[in-house]
Amino acid sequence: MNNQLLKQVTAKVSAGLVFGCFVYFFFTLMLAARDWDNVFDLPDLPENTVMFDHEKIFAYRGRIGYFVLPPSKMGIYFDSKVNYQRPEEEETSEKDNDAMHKTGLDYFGGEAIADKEIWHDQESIKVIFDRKNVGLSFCGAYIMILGDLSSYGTMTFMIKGQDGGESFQIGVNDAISNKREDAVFIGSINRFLPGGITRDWQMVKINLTEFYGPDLSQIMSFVLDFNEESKGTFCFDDLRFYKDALYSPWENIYKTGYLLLDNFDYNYLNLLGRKANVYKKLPSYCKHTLDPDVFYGEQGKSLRLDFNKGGTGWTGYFTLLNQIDGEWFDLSGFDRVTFMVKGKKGGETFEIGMADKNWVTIGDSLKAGPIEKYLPNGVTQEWQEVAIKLTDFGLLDFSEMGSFVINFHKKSEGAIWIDDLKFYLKQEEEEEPEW
Amino acid sequence: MLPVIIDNFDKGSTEGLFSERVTSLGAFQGTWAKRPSWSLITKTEEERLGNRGKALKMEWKFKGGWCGWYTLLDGLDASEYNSITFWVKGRDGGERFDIGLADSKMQEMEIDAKYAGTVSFFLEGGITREWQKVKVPLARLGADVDITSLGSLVFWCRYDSPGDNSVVYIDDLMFENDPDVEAMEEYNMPRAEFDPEHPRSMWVWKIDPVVNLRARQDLFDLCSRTAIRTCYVYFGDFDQDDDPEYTKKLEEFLQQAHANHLHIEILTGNPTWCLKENHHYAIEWMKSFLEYNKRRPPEQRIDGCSFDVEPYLAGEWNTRRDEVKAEYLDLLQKLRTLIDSYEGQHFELGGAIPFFYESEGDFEENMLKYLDYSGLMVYYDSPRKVIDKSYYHVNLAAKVNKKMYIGVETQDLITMNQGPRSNTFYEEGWEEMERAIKQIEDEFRSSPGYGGIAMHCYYSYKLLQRGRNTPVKMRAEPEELPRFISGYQEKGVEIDGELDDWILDNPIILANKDQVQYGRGAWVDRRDYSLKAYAMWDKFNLYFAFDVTDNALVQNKTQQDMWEGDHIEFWLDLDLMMDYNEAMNSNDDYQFGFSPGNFDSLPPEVFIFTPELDPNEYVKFTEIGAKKTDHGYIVEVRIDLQMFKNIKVKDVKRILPEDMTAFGTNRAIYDSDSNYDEINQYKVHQGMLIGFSIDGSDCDDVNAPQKLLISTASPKRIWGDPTTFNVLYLYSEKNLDE
Repeated sequence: MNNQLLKQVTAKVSAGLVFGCFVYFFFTLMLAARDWDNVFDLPDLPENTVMFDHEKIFAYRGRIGYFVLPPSKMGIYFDSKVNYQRPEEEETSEKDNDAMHKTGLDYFGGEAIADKEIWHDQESIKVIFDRKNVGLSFCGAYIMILGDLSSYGTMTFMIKGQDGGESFQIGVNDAISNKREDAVFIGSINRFLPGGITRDWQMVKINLTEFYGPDLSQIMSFVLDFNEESKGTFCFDDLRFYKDALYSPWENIYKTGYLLLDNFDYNYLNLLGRKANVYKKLPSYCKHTLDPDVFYGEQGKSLRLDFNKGGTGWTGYFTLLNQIDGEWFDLSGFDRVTFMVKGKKGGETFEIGMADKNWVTIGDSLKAGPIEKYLPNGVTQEWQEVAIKLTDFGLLDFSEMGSFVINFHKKSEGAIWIDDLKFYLKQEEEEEPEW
Repeated sequence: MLPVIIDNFDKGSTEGLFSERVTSLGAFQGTWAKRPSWSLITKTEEERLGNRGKALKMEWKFKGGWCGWYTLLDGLDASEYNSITFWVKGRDGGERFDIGLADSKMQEMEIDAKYAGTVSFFLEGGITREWQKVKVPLARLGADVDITSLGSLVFWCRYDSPGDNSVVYIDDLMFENDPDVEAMEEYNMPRAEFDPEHPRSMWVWKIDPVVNLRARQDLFDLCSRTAIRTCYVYFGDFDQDDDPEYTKKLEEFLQQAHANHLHIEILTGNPTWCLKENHHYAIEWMKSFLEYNKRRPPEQRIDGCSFDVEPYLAGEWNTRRDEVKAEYLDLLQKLRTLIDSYEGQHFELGGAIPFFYESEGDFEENMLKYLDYSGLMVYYDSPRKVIDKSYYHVNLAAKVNKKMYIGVETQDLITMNQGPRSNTFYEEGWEEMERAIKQIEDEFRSSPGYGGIAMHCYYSYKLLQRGRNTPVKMRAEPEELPRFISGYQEKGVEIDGELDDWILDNPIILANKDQVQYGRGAWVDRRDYSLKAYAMWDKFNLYFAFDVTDNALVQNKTQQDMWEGDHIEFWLDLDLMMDYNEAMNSNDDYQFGFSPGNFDSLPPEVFIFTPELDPNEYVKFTEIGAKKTDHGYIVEVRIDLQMFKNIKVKDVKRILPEDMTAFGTNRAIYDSDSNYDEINQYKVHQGMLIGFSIDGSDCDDVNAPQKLLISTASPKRIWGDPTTFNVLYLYSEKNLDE
């Protein structure tokens, strides 16, 4: 239920004062009792928020829209045929707003479907996408927030796919990034739905501290970016903002006994939402891709590294545990890192390194050694598990960790695949006694 | 050849549609950012070059992460041009960004653009509030970037903003042949005199002079101009049989280097190699080059190894230092044995050492047993400090009949987040660096342990500017700054801790919480700590008095440690106009410490924190007295102007007496007195303005130094930033010029 709806409902019952009072108090009590707000309840943007002229005209809370550069296609609209019904609420009827705007469905060969400007309670947002990896082509959608989220701890929403398995990356624009047309992304939806989108409604919980960098008091929009080639349809509903943090990122680590830093299934941000990339100093270079044709396990993708280490230069891959210029990751409760590896030909070689805060500043890492140290027969064409004690990386400050590194140190050319990069918690008996 | 306009920013906008971002070249432009830093662009008419069209407004805030602007060049061939040019003006002045260029291949491979320099390299005085033309010589990047197919031009915004954020306007960005560019580059290029007894050396990271012929030639050219005779060139793993083509190029490189009178030594620097379990990496690495030498004539051989393995960077240094030292020495012994096993080769072994090995017992001496020379990493921009920190090492080298090369740093350590400005000559530029080097060389020239100067390192030295390259903050004109009035006292002042011979009309008062810069929460009230300061002058001296209210006097330390007790830090910017907007102290900025002593065993004392001077020299130019009072103490100081005899003052600004109506009024006219041009002795005169800052430092507990610092600096005290200073005004009731 939103404030605008409340106002409309209240207006409708003005002829019947007693009934109106009842409705008013009913909804007021509901609002007072609940521990969350919806998008229309959010505090307004601070008065000094700078907006471009076009934003002053077109931007309003609850508006949906899209961005696309063909040949990708994109559509988004309010769908009154699909609605997530909260178990605690009675169904209410609501009439459509007549205002029109196109939402991109013409890209899909259909008519430019008219829809409403405001997201109403009895409808979901339907998103249709067809992302092509051609040139600079891109596509994505957004929901305008135009609100101050600084007093909230968690956002949640419900989502279900037409087929299941739909995927996108999540971001927000604040008043600054909105003008740059470049949201602050925190990774794939799958980070927050480990089983991925299914055909059933599922709740997604996002701790707002995930959005490191943007000014949460000036959030312009919530962004869904389709960053990999795929197509699909899904519905999005019941966007809520809770004051409290509803979960801890550590819950799952303690539950499983390990931190899955990346399974390389979804996004170039790892599963902590941190940056991963290659480094290269010519003539040495390396390229990384998420390979849908090669993976460890039953499904997903793996990290493919195509490398060419020359006689000079350097190259490799890193994935960050720390937030850049933000918090460092505490690995002191962990004792080993494991990952799966296979090579294109077999015999590929590399070093495994890690960097703490100090080594990140220096711009290097401490190496546990070459892969042959952990795989006596070396890398082969079959998946092998590599397990490395963290103490093998030397004297790092594990309470402030920065990165995990694959460094190609020998002059060679080839390709390797990496999957399921995990850090395991120390078992109880391994913990140091407290005395 | 007509210029190629990359963008005049007249068409389209930067809001909304991607297609609106098209440039005059038909390519795209945009920004990037890793938050919380951000950058915005807008095509604007609010500021533009000329009366028509638009300019690009670039706005950013750098605060963690990164941000910047790019414009794509879509494979443009710029080989017929000598420069990228554009016009720039700042909203506030003092804005700064770095300029880089990538070729198409780099663009395709997502390799970072190559750094050409910071914008102030190409604008004397940096960005101001006026339009100025920036000319970036393409020759700077010729070795690193394929100019025949360019990918993008980038501006990195990675400096703190002079205000809350930074705004610059850019217009008429183009490639052109500018007749001034070659002369400008020639003027800026570093150069040095050759000393055959002490040839210089240089660390070379980040370039590949073996494969990249342009980089090779640039290296030879720089070495030739700067009297460098040995290069320590980084090499990774090597096997002469692995890549015959590369090995052939290595032979050519070494042959050419030797023909250019250059010695080439291999360089590497993995700190963990010092550990016993990793020794084999170092040995195999070196052996591969010794094996290469074995099959080559002397002119194609590598001349040695600069072993930049720094064991103190390994974590184990903190937990089992003695073992790490022993393992490192064991490694050096193995390397020496390995080298000696190759007969007929002259292969030198050198090692990098930090100056703090002085306090590591006989470790350094034991290292030198196995080394032929050592490169001392004594990275300071003050010759006195370099000299002081080098004595032990140069003498030790002499004792064991080895050579010590004194390293100087030229990298931009601030941007790299790897040290303070005082550790590099990046801000001073090479001309000032050469003056410092001369002092160092004069000090050690006759020492048998002194080898020469070692430059760190090639890529930054190559781009080092001739003049100063300091951060700039535009500030109010001198007449608009808060003024500390110094009254003329012809008879001088007796330095006895008494204020009876002082003009007490115009004190500076530090007694408000807002003026407490550090420890504001600890400051109780003005009875806890406050002060009144007075200034006077005569033609030969400056006088200052400080009437300090302090409820607990604590001072047990002297000289550079006096900051741990009650004292007054006092800055003078003696040549105010020379570097008026430079936000970094230079040699005309003196930081004094005035200690009251403890009124018992410890006498009052003057210490100069910066520039670094010999206390035995300057003590004769200062006089200090102190007296205990019922509310604290009084400190009285005389500074003889002869102390500043080396400061050459140009362009003295002063307020003429006839333009004064009363103390403190601003109805003043400024005059430049040409008689003061190029004087060699510091002189003061009526109406003169000198920069100053007073920082009263309170200590109430001997175990808790500097409880609070109360300061005249505005808006906040930043150590060594003269743009936070105010002005001392030398006043006289009567016209002293008559």
